[in-house]
Amino acid sequence: MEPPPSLHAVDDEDRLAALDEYAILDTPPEEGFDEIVGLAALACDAPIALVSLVAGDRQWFKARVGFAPAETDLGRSVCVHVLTEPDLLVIPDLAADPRTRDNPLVTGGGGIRFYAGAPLRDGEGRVLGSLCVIDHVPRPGGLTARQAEMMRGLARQVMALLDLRRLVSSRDGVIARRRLSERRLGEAHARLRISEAHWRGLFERLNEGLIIGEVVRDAGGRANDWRYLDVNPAWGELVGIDPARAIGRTIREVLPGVEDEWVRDFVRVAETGVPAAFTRHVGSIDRWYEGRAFPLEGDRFAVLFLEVTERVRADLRRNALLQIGDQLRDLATPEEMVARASAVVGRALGAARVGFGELDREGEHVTVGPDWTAPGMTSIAGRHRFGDYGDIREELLLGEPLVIHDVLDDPRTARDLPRWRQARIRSLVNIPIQERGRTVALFLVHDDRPRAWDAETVGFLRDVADRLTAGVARLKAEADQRLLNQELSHRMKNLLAMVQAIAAQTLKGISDHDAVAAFRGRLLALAHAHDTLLQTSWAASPLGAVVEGVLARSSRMDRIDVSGPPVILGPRATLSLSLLLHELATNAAKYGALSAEDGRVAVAWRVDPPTGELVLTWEESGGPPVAEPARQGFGSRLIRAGLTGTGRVLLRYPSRGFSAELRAHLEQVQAS
Amino acid sequence: MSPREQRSVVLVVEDEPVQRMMAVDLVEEAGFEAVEATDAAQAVAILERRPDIRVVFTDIDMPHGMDGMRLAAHIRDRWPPIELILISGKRRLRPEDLPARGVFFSKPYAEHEVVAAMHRMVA
Repeated sequence: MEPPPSLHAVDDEDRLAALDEYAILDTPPEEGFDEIVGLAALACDAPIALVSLVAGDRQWFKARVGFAPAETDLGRSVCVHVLTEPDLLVIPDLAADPRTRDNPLVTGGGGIRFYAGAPLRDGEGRVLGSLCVIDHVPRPGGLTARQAEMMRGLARQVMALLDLRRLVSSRDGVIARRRLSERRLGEAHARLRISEAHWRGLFERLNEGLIIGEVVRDAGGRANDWRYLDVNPAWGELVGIDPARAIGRTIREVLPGVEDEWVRDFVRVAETGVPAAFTRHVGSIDRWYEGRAFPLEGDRFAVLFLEVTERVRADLRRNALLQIGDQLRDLATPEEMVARASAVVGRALGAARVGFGELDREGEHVTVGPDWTAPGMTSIAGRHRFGDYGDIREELLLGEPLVIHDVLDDPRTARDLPRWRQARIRSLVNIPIQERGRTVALFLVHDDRPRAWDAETVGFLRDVADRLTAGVARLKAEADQRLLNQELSHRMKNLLAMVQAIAAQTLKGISDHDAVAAFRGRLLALAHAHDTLLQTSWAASPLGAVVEGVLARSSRMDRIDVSGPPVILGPRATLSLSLLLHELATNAAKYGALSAEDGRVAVAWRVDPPTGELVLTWEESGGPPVAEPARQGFGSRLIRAGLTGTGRVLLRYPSRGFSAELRAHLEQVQAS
Repeated sequence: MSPREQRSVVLVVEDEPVQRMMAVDLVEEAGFEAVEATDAAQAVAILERRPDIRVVFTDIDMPHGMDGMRLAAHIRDRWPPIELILISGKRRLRPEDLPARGVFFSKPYAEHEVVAAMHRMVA
């Protein structure tokens, strides 16, 4: 059986979509619709009036009078038949009409018998449902013309309400959505504001200086400068420039003459994207900074840094002191010491001139020696009168350091500027060096610009002056020691000459010529050892020189072979070896190899690597047969005492010739 | 010629008496005639009187007046033929410091070496 045409209309997708758009189904009752059904019931004098919306599977009542259910299935619906009606549908007796006579609502108890419905048609002709009136009794006359017209009008009102409702809801939706998005936007903005304030606060409160910079390129695209986009207050404090004066300007504008590295390195960070750490000096303001530069988007970069001037200066001062300590130790003259210390101090402080001057007895003049100068500065070596430089003498004579930050401002110097100008001195520190309460010298540091000499720097200069003084004093002490040694040696030699003279007189009548000769020989050997030692201020003697010196005096060198590596002997070993060799040579000349025409002596020494022992050998050959002497004289005892007086001597008397081997630890023969 | 007349004359200049005595003994034992002076001025005075002096044996370090070096230079200048032996306990003279034909010994000296030098000079 074909479904009735109206049922096709129910499923019309277009119609259902339109119903959806109105979003009316299952919404709460609304006054406007309720009033309309009230009016319809009244106008038609009907017990039931409904606004019925026909969905795909049910009819739902937006407003109703005289009817309990909020909805029914389509099998109980009469309204579905309105969907295909061009105008009002009036069914005078539902029980008689074939379309409705089987409808349960019609057939059931308390059933309905009359129906009149006006289609609810949208602007495009789609029927959503009907506004209807229903009676429990048939009405063969239907509606009057006026009632019918009323129903049409009210149906249009329902549609108008639905349209209005849809319009409002869609506008509300937009507004709601807008409100929602605005609210969300607001929250986002608020969050953004919070985070910006947060970062700004950090930026402002940071102890580190922070720069946001941007590379500046010339017409050719070459980057040779960068611009301060933003700097924080700490930057201003650390650099000593008002941030307002920097933002928007380039570093070369803000710090004229700034070192190229400050431009190049940050440009490189921006260009390569590789962060870089730095510890660097800004010469024009004489401050040190340490920090990191890291890339931002595009040509921008950020720099986070601290001023480390104090720390760097302290490091420089400490290193300078260490350097001075190290270097002074190896220098041999006060002039070299002054020159070295001056150069180290000059470089460490970045000063213009550093020098050392000695005061005259009256303290009226200072004579400055060769001074260290920075490139472009001239020396002030020479004699200067304090009086020409203002009122600076008294403090120095009292031993107080003279510290002048700017000669133009200082009352002690401001009235006598020509000499300061001539020497290009704008600021200075003079450290007086005192000897027994009298200022004898000055350590001078000059700069050609005003300079705030801090207590640490002045302390450092005092330390340097102390070390220099100590170094020079050590040299002087060493020189004095040398002089004293020399004087003592001369006196000793004169004393030996006196002993020789007295002995000569005393031993005149002695018949034992051998004894007298032995005495004279030993005295001369001793004197010769002194002579050798005198050459090195009694510090040390080359073993070869000692051997040759003794033997040349007491025997025929052309019959003695001397060989051995360079070995240095201490003073005591020099004396004992000299006496010992003299005895060996004397014996050889009397009884041994040197007593015969063709006899020879070989003197040789070596250092045995494993034991560190010095081994000296004396080997005679070509002389008459020898035998161990029966009696131990002074000479033999001297020989047996060995190189250090502790023995370790091996004497042999084979028939081919006498030999001796003397051993001693190298350390011992060198120590004393 | 008598042995006395044959003896060469050596002038010993030494301010230290004991050392002067030893030097005089050494000169005489070597067979020469010794004449003594205690300082340079006296030596010059003797030289002016005694043209027979062949050798001057002088200490260098004499604190009063002219020292031995200046005396030697003076002698070389005024009496060129005279031979010179210089001794010192302080200084160690190098050959270039010496007057022409001069010989140096460090104090205390080996007597036989000094005697040998004197014999070479008067030979």
